Amino acid sequence: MPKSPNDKLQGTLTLLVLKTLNTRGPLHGYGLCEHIRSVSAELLQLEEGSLCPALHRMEQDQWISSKWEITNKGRQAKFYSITTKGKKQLAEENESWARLTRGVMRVLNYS
Amino acid sequence: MAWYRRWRNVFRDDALSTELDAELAYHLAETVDRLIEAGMPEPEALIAARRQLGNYTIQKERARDMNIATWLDQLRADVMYGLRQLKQSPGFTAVAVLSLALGIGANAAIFQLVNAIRLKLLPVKNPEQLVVVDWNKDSARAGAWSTRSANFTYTQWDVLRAHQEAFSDMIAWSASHFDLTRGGEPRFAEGLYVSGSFFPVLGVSAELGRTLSASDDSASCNAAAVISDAFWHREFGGDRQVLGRRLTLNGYPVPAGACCTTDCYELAVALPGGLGLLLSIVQARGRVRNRSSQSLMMLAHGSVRWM
Repeated sequence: MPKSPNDKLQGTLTLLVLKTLNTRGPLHGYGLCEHIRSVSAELLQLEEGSLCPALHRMEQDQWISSKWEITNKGRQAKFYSITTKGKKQLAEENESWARLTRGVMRVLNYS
Repeated sequence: MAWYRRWRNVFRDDALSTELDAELAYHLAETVDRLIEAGMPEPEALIAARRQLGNYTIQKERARDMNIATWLDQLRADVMYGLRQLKQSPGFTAVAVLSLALGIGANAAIFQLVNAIRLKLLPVKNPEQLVVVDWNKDSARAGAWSTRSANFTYTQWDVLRAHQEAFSDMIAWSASHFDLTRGGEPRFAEGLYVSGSFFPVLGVSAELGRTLSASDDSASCNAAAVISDAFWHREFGGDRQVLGRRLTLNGYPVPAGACCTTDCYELAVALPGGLGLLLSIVQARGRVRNRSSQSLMMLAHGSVRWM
C-alpha cells in the first residue's frame, strides 16, 4: 500500500477539525473536508475515510457533539459542532502546535 | 456518559452499523455530486468517489471501534461464537453440560457436609469452650474397644464426672440406633444416649416440653425421649400434641418428652451417629438395652487452658 501523501496531517487532524468547527459552526464530515481543502488553497487534502473514525473518537471524548439534520439538498447528514470541552482542547492543541512549529523553525534556521 | 454509550452500542450493533452506513453514504453522495458537477459521467463518478473514500469497510470498522467498548464487544462476540459451536454439536454439548452439572453439584454437596462437620462451629452455646475428652495416645488403658481407639465405659464416665475439677461440666453420649417397630420388619432411627448434662451444657432448648437435665440421671425416673425437629416432622408430622405419645424403641414403650428446636438438626450432622432420638443414659440402662450404650464419647465444658 503506498503511503498516504497526507500522513503528515495525522497529528493535526484534531486541531484542524476543532478549529474549523469553532469558526464555521456546525458542519457535516463532507463539509469539513471541503472547507479545509478550499481554505488551505488545496494544499491540505483530508483523507476522507480517516475523518469519519476521527470524528467519532472526538465525539466520544466529548469535544464535539452531533445531530442528524436535513441539508439544503434534502439529504440526511450528521452535523458536528464543537462543545465547551472541545474549545478548551482546541486552545491546548493550538498552543502545542505553535510550540512545535516554533521549535522546528528554529532548528531549520540555525546555521 | 461516553462509557455508557459505548456499552450500549455493544448491544445495538445493527443500529450503530446503520448509522455509520448512513454517514458514509452521505459523504459518498456529496462527492459524487461534486464530481458530476466537474463534468465526470455518473458511473465513473460513483467509482471515483468510492476510491477517494478509501477502504469503505476499514473506515466503517474503525469508526465503529471508536463508538464501542471494544473489550466488551469482543467478549460478546466470543460468547456468541461459543454458543454457535455448542449448537453445532448438541451431543458434545449435552455431555459437557451434564458432567459440569454433576461436578458442580457433587462439589456443592461435599462442601455442605465438610462445612457442617469441619468448618462451622457447633451450633451450641460457647462452642469455643468445648473440648473433647479422650485417652492419651498410646497409653495403656482399659476402655470399650468397639473401634480402633477406645471409648469410655460407663464406669469410667461416672468416676471422671464425680472427681474431675478442671471443667465446669462434662457430657457424655453414645450413638446408637433404635428399632421403631413393635415386631415385624425392623425400622431403625439413629439416636444418642446422652448424659443429663447434655442439653444444659450445649444450651440446646426444647420447642415443646422440657429437655433432659441432670436430675433425670436417675434410674428411678421414667424414661422419656427427646426427639429432634426432623424426627418430629418425619414421624409425627410436626403434631404439637406429640408430648407423651408412645414411641416403641427396641420393643420398649418410651413417651416423647420433648422436641428439640431446629438447632438439633445441625447438631445431628455435627455429632457422629446422626440424631433422631436422645435418651438419658442412666434411664436407658436396663430399659432400652443396647450394647453400644456402654461405649461413650465425652466432651467437657470449660477453659481451654487445659488443652
